[in-house]
Amino acid sequence: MPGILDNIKSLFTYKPAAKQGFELLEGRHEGIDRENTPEAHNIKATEEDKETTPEAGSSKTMNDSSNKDNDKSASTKQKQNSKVSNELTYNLDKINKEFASSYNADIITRKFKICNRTDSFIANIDGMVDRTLISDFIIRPLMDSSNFNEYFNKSHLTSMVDYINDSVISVSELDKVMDYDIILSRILNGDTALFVDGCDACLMINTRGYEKRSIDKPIIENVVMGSQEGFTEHLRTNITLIRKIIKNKNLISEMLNIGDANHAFCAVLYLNGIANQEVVKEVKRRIKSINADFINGDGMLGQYIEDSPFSLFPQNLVTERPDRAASFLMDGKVIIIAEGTPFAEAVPITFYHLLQTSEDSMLRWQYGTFLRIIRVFGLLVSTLLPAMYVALVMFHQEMIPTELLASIARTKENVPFPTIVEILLLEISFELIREGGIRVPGVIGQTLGIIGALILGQAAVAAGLVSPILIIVVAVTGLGSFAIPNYPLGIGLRMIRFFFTLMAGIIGFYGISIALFLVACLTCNMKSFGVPFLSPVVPKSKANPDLILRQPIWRQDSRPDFLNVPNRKRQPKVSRGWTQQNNTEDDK
Amino acid sequence: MIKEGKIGVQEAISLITITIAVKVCFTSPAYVAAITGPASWYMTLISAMTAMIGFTFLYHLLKLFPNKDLVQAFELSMGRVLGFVFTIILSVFLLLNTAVFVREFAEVLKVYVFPLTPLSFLIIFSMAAAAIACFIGLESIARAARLFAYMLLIGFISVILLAMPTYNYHYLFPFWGHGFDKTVLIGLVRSSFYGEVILIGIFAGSMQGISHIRKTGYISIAISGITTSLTLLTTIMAFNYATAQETTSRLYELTRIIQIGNFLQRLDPIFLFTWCIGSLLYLSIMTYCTLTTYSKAFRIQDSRPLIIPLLIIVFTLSMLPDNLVQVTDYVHFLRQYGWTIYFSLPAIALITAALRKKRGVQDGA
Repeated sequence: MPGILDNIKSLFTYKPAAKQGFELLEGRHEGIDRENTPEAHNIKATEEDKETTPEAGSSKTMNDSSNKDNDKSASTKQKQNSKVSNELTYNLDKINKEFASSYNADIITRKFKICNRTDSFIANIDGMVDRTLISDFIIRPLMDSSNFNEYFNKSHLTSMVDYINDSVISVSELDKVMDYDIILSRILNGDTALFVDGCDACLMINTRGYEKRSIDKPIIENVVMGSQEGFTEHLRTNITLIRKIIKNKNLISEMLNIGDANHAFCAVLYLNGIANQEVVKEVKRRIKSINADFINGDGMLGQYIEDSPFSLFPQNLVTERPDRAASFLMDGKVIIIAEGTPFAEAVPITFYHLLQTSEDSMLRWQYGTFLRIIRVFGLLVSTLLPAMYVALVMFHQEMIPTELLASIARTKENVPFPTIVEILLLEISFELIREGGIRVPGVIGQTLGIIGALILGQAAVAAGLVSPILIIVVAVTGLGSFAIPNYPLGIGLRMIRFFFTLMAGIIGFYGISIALFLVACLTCNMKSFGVPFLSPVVPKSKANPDLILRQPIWRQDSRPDFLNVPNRKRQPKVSRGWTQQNNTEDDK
Repeated sequence: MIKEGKIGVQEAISLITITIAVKVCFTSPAYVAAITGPASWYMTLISAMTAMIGFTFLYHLLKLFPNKDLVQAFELSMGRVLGFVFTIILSVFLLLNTAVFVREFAEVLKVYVFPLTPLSFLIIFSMAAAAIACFIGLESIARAARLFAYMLLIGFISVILLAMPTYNYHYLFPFWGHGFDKTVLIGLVRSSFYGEVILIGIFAGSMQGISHIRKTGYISIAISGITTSLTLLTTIMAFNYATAQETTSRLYELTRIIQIGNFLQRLDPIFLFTWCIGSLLYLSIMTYCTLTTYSKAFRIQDSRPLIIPLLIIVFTLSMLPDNLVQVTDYVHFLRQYGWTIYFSLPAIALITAALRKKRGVQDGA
């Protein structure tokens, strides 16, 4: 009742305009909160500082001498600021300011006295560290005065930090750091920083202990025979999985920083003496040159380093199987693993790698060859079948045997659309079902696929929207595309299929020929890290008999020629020594 | 400049062989049947051997000027002005060949496959494909040729084998055709059929050395000679020479009469792929070479902006003949007298270089 009265009253009385809701408008400061600490907000501050330094250097010639002095003093000050200070309060303030600890809940700074005498503090990120490790193996020994008897008895022969490093903390990985850029980056990665009063260095202690997924079965690269381990989202685990397979001292993993804002890492793995160093250099050059604020995982990184971004074919091979990554390394390729996704990328690759699976080499050569032929057939069917059907029905009816032609004509009698519209409708529906099946969670997704395929198809035929033979064509096309082992290639071919179908709809087999010719020319023009995409077929080069038709594993004695690896020999011509041994000797 | 890149022997052989041999799918064989009767199959072998002799001039010219292409060799041996004239003549001749070929291709397509489709529509599609291929560059065209070579070869051999039940060996007689002397004479003149071997000279700069050029030239002529001869032989055996001269495309007719059981009776659209892809490769490389020779004659650095205008000219020229009969006349004129350009120009340049004692500089000399 009072509410109604208020409403009536408000109709006749003046009221100041109510405050508007939140609106995101363009402003002078472009989203920077001036009241709160500006440095902490500027997530790319470090990189911008780096960039501005050379710019300032280049402007020196143009500016007057006073500017020069200003620049010099500013850069000296900047350098001083980026180093650890002797004063503990300064270091604490710096950490608090950098991480905006007044309102950033995740940063933990814990002050305590070492041996009940010297002030110190540790800093780390909550949730990224192993708390037990910190309390039992860092704080407890530091507070225990018996650990420092020797230090105080020998009247400070070494600095406190060095003494702690050598004699107190019993953690496997720790080192002395003076540069704030490194300190901040390592704190963000789960390390703990120990600052001690009176020391101009801090100890970075590896206390990483964040939650991570355990090793699981590969999801998109399932095999019947072969390893059942897949990569995880954790970089170190992934590298270990590869090292577990290749126990070779020449396996090098180089860590590179990617993503200016998320400070992620990627590992570049290669085998010294087998990989071509030019390729390794090129991979590192491309990764180092990336200037992007957020890169999470290989999918994103791959897009930054690929040769032809406008091509529909992938130029880096993404795998979630450590055994496959290891076999690529043994071939002389380079593996890139970025933090964040359970995949690794192999470069350089060729088209034929995209049709192979790790299971091929686990199976006997006859079975491997058979499976690959099936896959190639699947690829051809998934790319060309709808286009061929359209071309046959619309332009080249003479090729269809009379009985079949009569059957097609009968079923098509009630369908009001032209064949091209029919097939596009059904293809798009099929793509919808496929996409829906992936996005809808769990069991519902599978059910959706079955319902979509069966009921929708049946209903479309019953309603006279499509002819039954078309359902078969689209279904077989779908099956063919499922046989393609590489997911990105599968998507690329699904897109190319529409181009072929349209060309067939316009001008029959002639259109398909034109489309084939263009796709071939464009593909011949592609390269993956300097290697022609269709090698070793065009341009012709030597390779193992393992392209589509696989020969026995003991005949695969060399690494691919197109990689120009320093060590081409994989095994001697006679790798099965027992075939040359004299049986009679064994009998003796 | 359009990306030239490097091409290997296999790619070059595939490209030149397809460029020469694809013409056998069109109207030439019917005309040859008319002028040489059943002897056409070995007449073309005489043409191939003559073309090899013609190629020898080109080879020796390029050998005199190592690491130079034909256009540069013309200029070095005959001077800037005469070299320019020779290059332009070559460029115009290639242009005419391209225009006549594209019209012939479209006409035959219309006769056999798309009777209701306008000619211009068929031509525009092939022109667009050739334009894109030219933009991508020689390296990719050559690689695509190598990629399709096996497919085209398998297609060709399949046609020959599947049509076997229709062959009648008696149709090969009278063996000497209209007389051996006439066959030899026509064989010599029609060496122009293999004249596209001159393209090796135009992209010689992309080849890796003179030995590769030699191999490519002779092997390409040999393979295309065998292929053409086989086509003429089998089609004569399938139709007899009187009928063979009446058909527009002997090879397409051969694919039409293939019958495998009751279910597979008309396989010709399948072979349409081999036809079309071969023709598209021909168009692309001829357009590319026309463009390269023209650009080099006028010292044009980037020839990409010329692709579309050139193809518009090709399209216009190809639409000039009134009908297929007129097109066929042009085709036979080019086949009859093409050697005067294809083989004579390098021969004249070679003789001039020899007389003027001009030589190129060897690498590392």
